[in-house]
Amino acid sequence: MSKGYASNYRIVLLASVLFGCFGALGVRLFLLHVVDREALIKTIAKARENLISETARRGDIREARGGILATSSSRLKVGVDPFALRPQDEKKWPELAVLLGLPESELRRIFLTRFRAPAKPPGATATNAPAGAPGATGFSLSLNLPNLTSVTSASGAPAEDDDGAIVESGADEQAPKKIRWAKLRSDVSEKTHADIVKLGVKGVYGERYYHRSYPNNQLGAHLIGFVNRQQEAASGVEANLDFFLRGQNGWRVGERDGRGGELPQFLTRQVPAAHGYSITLSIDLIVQDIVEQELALIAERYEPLKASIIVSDPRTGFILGMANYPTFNLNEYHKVPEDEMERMKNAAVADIYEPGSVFKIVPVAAALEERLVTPQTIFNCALDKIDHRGKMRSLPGEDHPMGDLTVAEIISHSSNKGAAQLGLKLGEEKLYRYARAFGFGAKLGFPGGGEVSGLLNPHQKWGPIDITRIPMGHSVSATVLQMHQAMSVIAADGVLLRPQLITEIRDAANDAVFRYDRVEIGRAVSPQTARTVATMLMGVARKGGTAPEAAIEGYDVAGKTGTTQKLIEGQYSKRHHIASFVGFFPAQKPQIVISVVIDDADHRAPGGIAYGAKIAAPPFKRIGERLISVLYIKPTAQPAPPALPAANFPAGGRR
Amino acid sequence: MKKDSRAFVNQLVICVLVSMTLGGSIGLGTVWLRHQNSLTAKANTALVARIAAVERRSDEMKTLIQGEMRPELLRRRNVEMGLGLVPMNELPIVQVTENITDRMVERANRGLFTDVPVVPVVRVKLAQH
Repeated sequence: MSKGYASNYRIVLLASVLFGCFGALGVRLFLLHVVDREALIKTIAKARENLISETARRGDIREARGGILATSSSRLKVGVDPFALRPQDEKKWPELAVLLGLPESELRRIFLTRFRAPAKPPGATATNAPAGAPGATGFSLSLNLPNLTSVTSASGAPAEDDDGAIVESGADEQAPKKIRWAKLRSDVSEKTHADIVKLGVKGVYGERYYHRSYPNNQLGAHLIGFVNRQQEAASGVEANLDFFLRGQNGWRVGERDGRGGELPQFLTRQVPAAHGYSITLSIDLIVQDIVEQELALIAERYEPLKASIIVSDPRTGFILGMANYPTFNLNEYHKVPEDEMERMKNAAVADIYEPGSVFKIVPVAAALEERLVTPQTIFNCALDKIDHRGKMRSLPGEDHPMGDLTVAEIISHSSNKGAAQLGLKLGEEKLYRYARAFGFGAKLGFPGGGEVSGLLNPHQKWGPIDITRIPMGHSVSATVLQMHQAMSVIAADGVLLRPQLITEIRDAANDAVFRYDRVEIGRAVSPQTARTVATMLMGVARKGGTAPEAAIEGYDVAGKTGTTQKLIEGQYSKRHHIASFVGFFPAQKPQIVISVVIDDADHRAPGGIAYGAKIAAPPFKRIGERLISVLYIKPTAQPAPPALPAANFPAGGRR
Repeated sequence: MKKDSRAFVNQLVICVLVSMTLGGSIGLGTVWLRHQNSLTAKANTALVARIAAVERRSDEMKTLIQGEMRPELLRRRNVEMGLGLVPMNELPIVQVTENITDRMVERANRGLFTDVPVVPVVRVKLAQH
């Protein structure tokens, strides 16, 4: 054993001191960790716990070519804590005012207002505010007390008032409240904020939020919809697909230091923000722009009450363009006057109208499908009355007298009497069944929202004249989209497709979550019948038809005009019409369906009557011609033979 | 006996000192590790914040670019800057009805068996003022 080098006494003393110290430490630790544990943990947790919420970014809405239609970008609400200002920063205030776009006097007023006047008791008269003392920063800031009411939350915590200021709560309600945050500007961009931070004015800081913006302003306004100031999706795709777009806010719990800074190493729980999904629409920006340009032209020329245009692909049901007049700017939705709120509605799916002669495709297709007639079957279209199940039924009038017409001529010359006789041949039950099969009287499932089902009474509720009026598009109401889809049935070989607006949904990592495809609602007529009707509809846009104005050179156009008298005070008006043209091309291999519906353009129409052929067919032609190069629509290789035999009846009959 | 007890106490002191040194080292090491953890966490947070800031600026820039590309503005600029651009129409489109492959092969080999190289003729129409 080695020889010791210390005396017993000293060693024992040292050891005792050491053990004593350790013992004391142990006792203290025991007290802290066992006896006072709960109370201390509560205090610490209260003082250091830090809950930070993470706002999820709302997903983008894109058009078919990838262009952004709606997006969320970061903005900052910049404010100031007047008590944190330093005198040495005062020389930077003018530059800060320039960055914020505020007059310097206004900036100084906000900076120097350090107290808020106490809440006045009811009935109290205004009193002079107490003079302010020099601030904590050591330099004199004059007290400027605006005559405003102090706002604190019910819990006593600082709250933001209408003026965007946060005031400190206190026990004395009558004492002036310290302003700890006063708003300077609420829409500061990231770049400007970076410049402000670089300037280094202590006490000026920003609060980030996501601002929804629509880079194309009014383009596709009714389809896209908007998010209001309360961050609530108000209409369109924004509202209808809000569940996918909005995402989910995240949060994290950790600790903060004495200065309130986050201590990331003490992060205990975290739920990351799940950013919203992006929605890709089938809308093609170029097509949509063409459609809206055409609507602007219609508005300028005819000043109609309203107008709607829809362009879609009949093979898939995807809508390529849909717009209404009047419209609005999505970034300035709040500027739409209250009495003009109607313009924010997607009239193409939310408003109904009597489709008029365009509806004639339904009885014609139904009669052909039921093999009750052939295209060559002849009807006497000069009759005024006709026997139906032992009772004489009056037939609707024509604009121009017509004689014997084949079924093909009934449609190309838009004979009301002919359509009524086809309806009588079909009977109520079958006509109703086919109208439903073409999509009338029920919602089509438009994913943009706001859709109504239109009016088509069950045949048991029809009046005696309905069987002769419904085939010509009266006593039935439909949306523009329903009429568009009914024409698409003919273009899609007899199948009614769901109108599709969304092509895919992508997550924040840009991976496709869901892809939409063609959805068949049901078969209305056989492909053979659909092709026969398409061939007959080609006669409408040819010489001798009702709308040669819709013809596109090099392409076979199939379509139908409509000129509906509007119901004014319960009576059909002769001075107010809804002009429409719904058609598709190339007729033999349809690639595009276009609907143009113009409401009440009579006062500017030639002759004072807004005929579908004169008002709605030319826009159809112009849009069609422009779409050829955009959508690479190939011309008809061999033009189809004339669908109509030469007929001897007065020209110019328009319905 | 006295020697032994003194040696024992000496050993005890040494043990205590060694334990304290060890404990202290471990404590210091722990503090150092926690400090490193804190630095790493802070660096990570700063990186995440920076990435978020870049993404925010990128989103802002994309919005600005999209806004500048909106059709209505492009049309206005076209007029303001006198560019004379017109919407695409059917005129420059050549519809090819024959076999595309044969057509391309024929075009590629057009000058192959002739002595005269095929030089494309470019006609430029000068604007007359």
